[in-house]
Amino acid sequence: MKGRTRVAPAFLVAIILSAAVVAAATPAHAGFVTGAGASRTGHLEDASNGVTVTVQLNETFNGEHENTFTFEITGSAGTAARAYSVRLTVNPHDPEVATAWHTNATGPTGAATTEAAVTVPADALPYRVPNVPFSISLADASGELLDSVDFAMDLTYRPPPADGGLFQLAAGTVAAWGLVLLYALYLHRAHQRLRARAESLERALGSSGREGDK
Amino acid sequence: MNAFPRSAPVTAPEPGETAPLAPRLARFSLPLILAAGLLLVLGTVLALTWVPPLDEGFVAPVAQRIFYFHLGAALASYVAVAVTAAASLLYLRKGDMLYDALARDSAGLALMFAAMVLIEGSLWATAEWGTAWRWEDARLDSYLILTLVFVGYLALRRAVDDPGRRARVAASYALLGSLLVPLSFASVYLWQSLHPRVIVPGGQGISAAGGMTVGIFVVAFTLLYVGLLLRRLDLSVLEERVGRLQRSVEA
Repeated sequence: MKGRTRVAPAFLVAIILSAAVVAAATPAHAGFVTGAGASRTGHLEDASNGVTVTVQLNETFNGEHENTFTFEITGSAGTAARAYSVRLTVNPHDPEVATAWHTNATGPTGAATTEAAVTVPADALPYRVPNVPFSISLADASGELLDSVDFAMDLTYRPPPADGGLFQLAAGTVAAWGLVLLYALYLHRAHQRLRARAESLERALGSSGREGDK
Repeated sequence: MNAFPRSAPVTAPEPGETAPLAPRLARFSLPLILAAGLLLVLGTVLALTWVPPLDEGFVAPVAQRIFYFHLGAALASYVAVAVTAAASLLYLRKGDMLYDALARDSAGLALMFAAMVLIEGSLWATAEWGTAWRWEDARLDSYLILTLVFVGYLALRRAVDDPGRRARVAASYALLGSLLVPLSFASVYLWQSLHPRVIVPGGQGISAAGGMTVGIFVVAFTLLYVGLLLRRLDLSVLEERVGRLQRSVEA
């Protein structure tokens, strides 16, 4: 085994300890996403109360209109009624731009289902950006996170102009030229007006001077 | 052109009035404006017909050509505000009214270019983003604030009657307001913004033809700014002279 790189035991211990610390600090989330297209579904759970939560997650999000995400909270035989908060977050891992919408609901007692709707108002996300990170999460009444899962949606907004923006380009070009020409015209007219005024004042001053000489 | 400023002065300049330097410089205004006009025509033809679109996946590739006007006008507005600040500083140090006139006239031009930037930017955004304005965008907001600050500068000048006090107050205000230029420029790098970053490694996918067209617009708008500024400064001298003549006639 000569020449083979040997990892020091202390280094191995450090790696194991680091992994253990990371594992302890990160809550174990069982959330997951199944399906694709219109049948894509997000799944969350509160295992301690036998509750599962499902919500339909479309692959596109049209920011022009209101978007409602209906979370179905389903209990099992031993489930006790408990207050929950369900949340939809855009850019969940970027604190500078993360934005969330949530609603509170009381979960079912026993094997039943209750619904909690989270509504994102129209124009709240007026962007056309593909593959934007989102997350859904389930928290208890005190705000403690019970489960979450990340996914992505394509944001769409008003459809782009069919002509690629020809009208806007024409209007922009006319506006640029128009402003320059208007300003140049203003300077030219002001010059003419002031020059005429100055000449008439000079004449008036000259004639009054000659009259004074006489 | 400019026959009046070159004619013999009827009355000697009064203390604190604009120095006779401006009329001498004004003779360069027309050649500069004509050169700028020719370059703008050339740039417009190139931008509309020749330059390939940027490789940035714009959803409105035709409207994206507004970029060339938009960038040139934006840089000219920054230059105009910088000149306003420099002239204001020189006025505060030397007390020469020429610098006050220079600051005022440059601020007026800054607003003309700013209007161009805002109109073109909104048109481009309407096509590209589906909305004319985004209040959450740092570049858009900081530039709008900069523009409004200089609208306020001109309004402030109208509100103060005493020329000396007006010049001092306006110069101080302009110096403070001009601090928004670096902030506006850096905003796309400091905060989240949908506004394209112009200075990036790789050049935002600008082709050689696009780079050349950008250069033409930048030179054209700079020449236009200098030409119009000299012309406007000449007008200020003429306004002063008419005022002086008026006072002489009345006396």
